Amino acid sequence: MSDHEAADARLEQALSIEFSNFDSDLFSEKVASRVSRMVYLRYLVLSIGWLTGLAVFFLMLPVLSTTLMPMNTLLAESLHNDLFLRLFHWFIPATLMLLTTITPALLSGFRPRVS
Amino acid sequence: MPDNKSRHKSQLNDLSDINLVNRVQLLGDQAAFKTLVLRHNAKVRGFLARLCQDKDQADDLAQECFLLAFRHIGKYRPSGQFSSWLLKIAQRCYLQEKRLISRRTEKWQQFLPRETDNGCSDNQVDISLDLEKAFTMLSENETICLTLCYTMGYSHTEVADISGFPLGSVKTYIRTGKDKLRDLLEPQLKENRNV
Repeated sequence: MSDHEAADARLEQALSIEFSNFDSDLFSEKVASRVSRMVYLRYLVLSIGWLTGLAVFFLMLPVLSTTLMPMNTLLAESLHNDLFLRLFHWFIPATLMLLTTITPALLSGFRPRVS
Repeated sequence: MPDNKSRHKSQLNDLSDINLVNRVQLLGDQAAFKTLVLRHNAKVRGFLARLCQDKDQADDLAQECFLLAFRHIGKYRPSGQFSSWLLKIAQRCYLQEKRLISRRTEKWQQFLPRETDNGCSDNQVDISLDLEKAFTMLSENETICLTLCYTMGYSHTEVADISGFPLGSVKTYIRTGKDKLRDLLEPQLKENRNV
């Protein structure tokens, strides 16, 4: 074996020594506490978002139903049906508000966890 | 209760990486993630320490890396090793931090007095450098490739996958890095041979 090859072999041996002298327990504890804090914050933000969304939904329903009344009446008139009139009275505002409430949650929270 | 906890812990220790990842993905199991951290932290911290040349900064970055891994664990594809995926994130964290630091120093550079050239050239390398010090003389890409290839035992293809460098470049970085290290550590290597 030439000098060059021998030096290479020793260098590779020196390089292959695994990393050591790390306090794994303390480090994993730190990471675990940061992870649990992150999860807690995520739940907190999500629940605040949901509650606000629901509150807005119920508060805005009467307002929207009155503002969208002409549209409802138009739709109902076109169908000539009393049952539909009652249904459509709430249908458009409810759909709008539900969409407003659910969309952020759909965008943030419900991404598939398993691909 | 503590018995249950320790039994659960030992059960988790027996599971493979992929099973632990599945538990985190499906159940959000934090204990399973902690087991993964315990298993892989030395690799990630060692890799980052070699890149940063600063153990404390490397530990901070490693924490960020594990937090990112937890947040994006749904994106992990079980086609490769979990440790490779972690190292990929670690490398990105390092590059991002480096970019931030260089931007910050650029901002402050104009207010600092210009450094005078003391005539000491960078090429004058202390011949008695040890391996870790010798790594400071290598380029970042060479350090990444050599560490992944020799210290962690990844193949050239895996190194290319983790680092995002083309395979040809990986081979070049490894060759030039090794040549540089050999030149830097030649006296030590010869000394060892004589002993």
